[in-house]
Amino acid sequence: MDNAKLDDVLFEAIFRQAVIENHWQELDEIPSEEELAKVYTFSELHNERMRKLFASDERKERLARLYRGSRKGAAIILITSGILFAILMTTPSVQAAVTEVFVEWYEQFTKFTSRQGETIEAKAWSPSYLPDGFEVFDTFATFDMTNIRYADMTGQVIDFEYMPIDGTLSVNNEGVEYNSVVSDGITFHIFAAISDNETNTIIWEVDGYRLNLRSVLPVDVLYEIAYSVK
Amino acid sequence: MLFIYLSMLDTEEERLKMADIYEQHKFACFRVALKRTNNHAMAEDAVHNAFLSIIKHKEKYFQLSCRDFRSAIVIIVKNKCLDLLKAEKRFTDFDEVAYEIESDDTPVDIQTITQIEFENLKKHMSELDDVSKEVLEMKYTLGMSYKEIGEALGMTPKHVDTRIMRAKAKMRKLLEKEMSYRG
Repeated sequence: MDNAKLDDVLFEAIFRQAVIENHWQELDEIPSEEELAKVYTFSELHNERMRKLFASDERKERLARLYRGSRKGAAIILITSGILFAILMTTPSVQAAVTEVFVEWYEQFTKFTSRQGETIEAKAWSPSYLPDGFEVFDTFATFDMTNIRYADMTGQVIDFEYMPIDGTLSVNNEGVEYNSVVSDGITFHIFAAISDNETNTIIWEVDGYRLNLRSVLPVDVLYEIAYSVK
Repeated sequence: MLFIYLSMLDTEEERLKMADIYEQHKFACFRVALKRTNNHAMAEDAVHNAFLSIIKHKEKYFQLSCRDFRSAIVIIVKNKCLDLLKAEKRFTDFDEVAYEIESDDTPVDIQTITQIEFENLKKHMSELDDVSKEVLEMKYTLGMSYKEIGEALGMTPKHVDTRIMRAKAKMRKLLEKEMSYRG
């Protein structure tokens, strides 16, 4: 190796080391978090933004772990759940009721059946989170059922429906994987389509209402919307 | 009757990990960002965007030691600052322009590098422009490929290569000047 090449090699090695040492020196010059906390503060907007970022990541992680252990195939599953309605402080008309929900899984459809003996207060439900671009496209309401369709400019739709828990709801379970997630005491029944561009469905019950979301959007996005419904 | 109840429970360790890491590094990241952007809101945006990047590849970053993670997140924060400054058109690569004006394409004389020159090299690192410093740190500290660096900074691999070559050439010229002053 001649002197010119040796110097090139030597320069490269020392240059590389200089970059690395310079970087670590800069890092070591950063004071401790305790000292920096006395000098800098974050805005409430930033703190809230970071809180939502970690909460969203946590929910997605939970869902991802659920699907790694999901079951496939048709089976007969009987789920019995008890739901106790709390008496709302400002609504004396609401009466506590216990509802039994039977979920029966047949070969081609899943049936949610419930019995309820008491009346409940009329409520309007809506999601506080929707993906960018989605707006209310259409609303249809009968005496006890409300259907809201959200759509974006590309034509994708999200159907949101809710009704008092009474009677039977059937869900087509062909070509779907079933799972359930419990969050904040609410059981979300998730029917995730096996194929792309097929409809995903999420059903859950809260405060005497049965709510469901249907869309071809990814199931984790649908879950975010379901979780945000108030 | 078959009774099945499915639930997902997070381990406390999993749930706290991301937020915990943020608490360990948030002010350091903010300080770095504020020095680069000189704007409180923009620095907060850079910190947020940096942790968003971390979350997308967290399996890789969770394996790093605290010190190595600090090294990586600082570089990511600097990159996010560059993105934000470019978006606001507040970034101008003055050093790049100055270098092109001064360059006369004369090959740099080959010189033997001693320990003194090594210290001078480190000293002159601060005279490199921010983008070149980022490229060098990503290459030598994180061991990223030209393609990976290019994707992170919005450059082609060829552009990354050119940046590195010019940074080295500039450093060599600065060292030459210093040695000629000493006689």
